[in-house]
Amino acid sequence: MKITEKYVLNLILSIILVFSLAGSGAALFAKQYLLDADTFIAVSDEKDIPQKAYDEINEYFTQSAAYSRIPADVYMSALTVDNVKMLIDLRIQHMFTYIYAVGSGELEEQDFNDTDGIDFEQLEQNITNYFDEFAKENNVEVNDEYTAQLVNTIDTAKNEIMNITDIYMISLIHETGIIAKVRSIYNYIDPIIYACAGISLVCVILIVVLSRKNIGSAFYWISVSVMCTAVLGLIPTLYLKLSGITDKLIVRNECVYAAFTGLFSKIISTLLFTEIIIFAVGVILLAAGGLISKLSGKKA
Amino acid sequence: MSKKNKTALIATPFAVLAICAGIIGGAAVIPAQKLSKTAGIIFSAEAEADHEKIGEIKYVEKEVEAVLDDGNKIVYPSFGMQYATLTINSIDLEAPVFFGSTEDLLQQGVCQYIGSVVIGETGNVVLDAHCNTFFLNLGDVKAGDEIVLETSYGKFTYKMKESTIFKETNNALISPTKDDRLTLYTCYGNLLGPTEDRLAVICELVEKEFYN
Repeated sequence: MKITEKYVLNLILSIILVFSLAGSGAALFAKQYLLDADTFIAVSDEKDIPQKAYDEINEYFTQSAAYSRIPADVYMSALTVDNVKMLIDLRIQHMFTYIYAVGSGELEEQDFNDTDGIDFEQLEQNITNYFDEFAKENNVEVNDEYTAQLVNTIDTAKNEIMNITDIYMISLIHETGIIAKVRSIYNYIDPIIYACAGISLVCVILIVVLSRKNIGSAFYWISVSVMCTAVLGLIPTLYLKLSGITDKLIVRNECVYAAFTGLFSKIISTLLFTEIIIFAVGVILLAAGGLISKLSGKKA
Repeated sequence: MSKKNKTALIATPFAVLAICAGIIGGAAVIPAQKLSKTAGIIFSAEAEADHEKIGEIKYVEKEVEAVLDDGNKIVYPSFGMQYATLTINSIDLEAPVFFGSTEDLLQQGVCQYIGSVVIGETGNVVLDAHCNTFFLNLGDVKAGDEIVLETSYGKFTYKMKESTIFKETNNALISPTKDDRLTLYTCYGNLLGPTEDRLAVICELVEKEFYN
């Protein structure tokens, strides 16, 4: 085979290797990091969101006392920051349980329930006790209207707490169909990883076969692919990091803002770190190729 | 190594990068256009980076004078501005009136619904306050009781005409009217907890006294 033909073939294989490495890397990153409840929960903890959510709940019930005539303490004595954290974490875990269940078919789309297992027993008891005391002191008749108002008050309190602790807007995202879409894509992630990894392996083998007389050359071509894969990811990631666009999220709710900007920031930092590592691997491969070529006395 | 080989060695990574970037760029044109529209909605260059002030309401102090059809002058208040005092002697109430209705303002006084007319203009002036603070005794106002709104440009006297209970989703009583009236409303309920009911006290204008 002529040198030019070999060069063109290596170039084509190198380009294909860039895309297959990028594909398998992206799919792996999505599966192991992006679609992992721990990532979302870690951001919530790092940004101290349970405390912020607790404060927001307290403020809501303090302000609502003006028209409900129920002191905030009735509600807040049933809640702690740990409770709030549990609520936040449970909803995140439920969302991912639903997404992961697509493969096993255990949960159908209509089974999405991000509030399963959440216990409001103490809150219900506190509100009921306060109503009972009020009724006794003010000679209020305990009739259907009374019961309906009690139920309404409990439901309103629960809904408000659930809204405030929904820091990733899971309910809204589910209504827009995004979670269902992610669920449908989730099944294909493993095949994509295997397919791209397979293509990468084939490309590497072909590059090695083409460069069997000079293994240093194979290292060179593989390192070019690895470095280009890293650079193609680094450019947009660096842009997002340096532009600070993720801090300009138009969300007025403090908890939601902290959650999403924290998540974006964490993802960008992790991507940046990973891509720098991949680039470094490429440089090492390049250096190794050069060394091998030098030692074997051949041209790359 | 020949110069040609060296050049090829150095240029090849850039060539691979350029080709790959070109392919990605070409494939990403349409998705990027769709994404930029969404990004434009979700992110804003003007959004404040300091989100510690996320709940802070900024009040812009700006008064605008206007001349009514009858030649009298009024002053349009800016949002959050205290521009009147409400007095109801029958229930011992004297409270500041703010233009705009937010939780922050409701804690300080009576608030005007900004969808209603400015005091002195023809139509329905709508004021609300919390049922456990400034409008605690609103239900005790009786037909014929005098209600006075005093501003920097005039004094406006009303008489209570009727009261009614309505659902918060019913906007009929806070909508514009052709006659001059004052509508005061607050939460209503005998029991604890959030309520959908509102108490409205409707008053008719009996005297306008402009200072200009």
